[in-house]
Amino acid sequence: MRQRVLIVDDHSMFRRAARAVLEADGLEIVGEAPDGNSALELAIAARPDAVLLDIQLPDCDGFEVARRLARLKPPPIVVLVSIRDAGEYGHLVMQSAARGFIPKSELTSARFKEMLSV
Amino acid sequence: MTGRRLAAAPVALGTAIGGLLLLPIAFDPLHAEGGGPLWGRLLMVSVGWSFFAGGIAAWFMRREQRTGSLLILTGLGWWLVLLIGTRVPILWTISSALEMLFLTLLVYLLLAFPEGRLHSLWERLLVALQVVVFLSGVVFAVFYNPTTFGCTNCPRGLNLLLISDQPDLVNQRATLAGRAEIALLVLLIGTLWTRWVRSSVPRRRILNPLIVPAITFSLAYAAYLLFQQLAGVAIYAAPLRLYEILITVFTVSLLLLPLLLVLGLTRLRSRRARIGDLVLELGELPTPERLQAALARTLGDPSLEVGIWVPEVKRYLGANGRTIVPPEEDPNRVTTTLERHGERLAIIVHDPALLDDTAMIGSVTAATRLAVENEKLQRDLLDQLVEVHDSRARIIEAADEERKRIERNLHDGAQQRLVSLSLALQLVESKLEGAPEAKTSLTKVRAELDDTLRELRELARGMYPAILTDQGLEVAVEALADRSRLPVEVDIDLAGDVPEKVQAAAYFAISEALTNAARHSQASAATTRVYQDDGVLVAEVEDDGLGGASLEEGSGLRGLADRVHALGGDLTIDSGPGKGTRLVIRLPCE
Repeated sequence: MRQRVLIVDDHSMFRRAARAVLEADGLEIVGEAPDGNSALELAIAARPDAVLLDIQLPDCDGFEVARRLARLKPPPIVVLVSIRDAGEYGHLVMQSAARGFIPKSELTSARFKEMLSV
Repeated sequence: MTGRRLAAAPVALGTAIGGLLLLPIAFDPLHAEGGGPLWGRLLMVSVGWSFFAGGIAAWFMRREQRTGSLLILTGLGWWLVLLIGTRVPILWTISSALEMLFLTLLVYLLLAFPEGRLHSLWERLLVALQVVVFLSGVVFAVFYNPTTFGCTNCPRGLNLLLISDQPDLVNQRATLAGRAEIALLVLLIGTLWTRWVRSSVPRRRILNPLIVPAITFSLAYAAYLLFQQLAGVAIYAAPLRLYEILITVFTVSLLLLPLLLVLGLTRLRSRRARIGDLVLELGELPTPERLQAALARTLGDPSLEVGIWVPEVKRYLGANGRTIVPPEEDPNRVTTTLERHGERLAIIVHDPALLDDTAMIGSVTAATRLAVENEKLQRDLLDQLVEVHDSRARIIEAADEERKRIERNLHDGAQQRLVSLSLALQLVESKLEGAPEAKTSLTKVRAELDDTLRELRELARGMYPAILTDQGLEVAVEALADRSRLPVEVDIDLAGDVPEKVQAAAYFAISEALTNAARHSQASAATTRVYQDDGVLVAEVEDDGLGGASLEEGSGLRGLADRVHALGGDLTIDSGPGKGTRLVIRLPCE
């Protein structure tokens, strides 16, 4: 069964690139959202298995979205991404409801899949 | 003036000796045979000494040389009068001719007190009249033969100026002169009294010692002359008892006069000293209330009001913020305006009597001007300081905003694009399985790209900690602690709102301190505490390293100290060698 992924990021260039990379590795992209609110709407509508979630969003930050996604039944696996690295977010990454964090510069489909299977 | 002071000693000595020599001279104030009682003669001589003593005392007071000289000359004039008892022709002639000199000098002295100068045209007229009477006596000496007028022990040729014995002329002149003199004395009393009544309270204190003896003398002497007139010029036939009493009265008042004059002068000096104190007192920043109180006290005018010109409201503001306007049509109030280069400075509304002492008004207005200008200067300085302080804070904020902007631009621009590029290359790479050489090249390119991204991340983070804006100081400091090479114990307790510029300053301080601890001072651990204390944010960082940190120019701590000071806070660093380093910053949260 193909994993179904929602991509949330306010930069369209990144969404396209990420989509291309993940699709090339056999993942199904069920939707793209540019901000937190539309991400939640899409998540409720499309029920993805996993969400690739940028922390820097225009309306609320990725941690908040991750919290709200965690309340869905069943909750999708959330992988946080950011241009900045984890160290700049202190304890927030560890304390968040997400499965994990990948800096965007280290994002590969392999690593993403790895996080989904943990 | 010291030359004159040096001259005073021999003059004083000379005249004292001269006075002593007069004693054995058979003077007789009433020209009666046998002379008067001894106490009477001593009294007479003492008047001269009193004038000399007063004159010398006045001389030694700075600025009272005129009055001092007048007193001494008047004393000399008195002794000339006493010389009439001599029978040495030259001495007797001088004494007789210059008999009125004493009175002339005395009138001048009384009218000119305390400045030593005459105050008005009226006073000058009185003195001129007195001089005329005096000169008439000098002129008519040529007609005066004492023997004709009943002197029994006057030798012939005693009056060296005698040209022609004309007793009638002498009598007529004496009668006229006597009447003129009585009128003069009455006018003198009137003038002194009027001056006293019109004087301000402090000026009266200076005049008071003078008034009683001056008026007593004038009344007694005028009465004496009056009785002479009534009894005819042949004074030898007049009732002695009456004359004795009058002479005693005016002699005693003359004796006291110089001493009381000097008392008046000391009061004048003390008032001048109080003006000096006023200048010193007003040197400190005066409020309108204090200025008004000080001036009212010094000038002795309790109803005095001071208004300081305030350009912002275009009015004179006085004590308790009251507006002061120059009163119109009020005879009891007068306004003195103080200006500086044509600009309004202050006004003083006061009793017109204060204007009589122009020297004092001059000193007071100068002092007030100084005080008001000083206050203006200080206010301007304070305003400038506040402006500089505010602008420093604004510069810091502007710089921080700029850095935030750059960080965001980097994030949203170059970094995003490069990341997307990296992902795109990843895609290409995955499709190059069949071309290992191409794939290897591409992998290298991607590695370069990743390095670039890493450098950009460092750059962006150095610009501004975005996490501070997004998540606040607590999270940002925890991130700092996590990133540090050292174990850092974090204790943050923020209750109220902290403005972002304060958070940024605290963040940069902790960042700098932790960097120094990790890199330079070889510490093994650090602690950081952030808390609020009564509206002030306090951030402390302590490490167990080598110490020796300083606020030298160019060090990161110097820049930090500047930032902290620009925000109105302070920074202390406790870094003894070998004792670790403790940095504390305090910032007001307004």
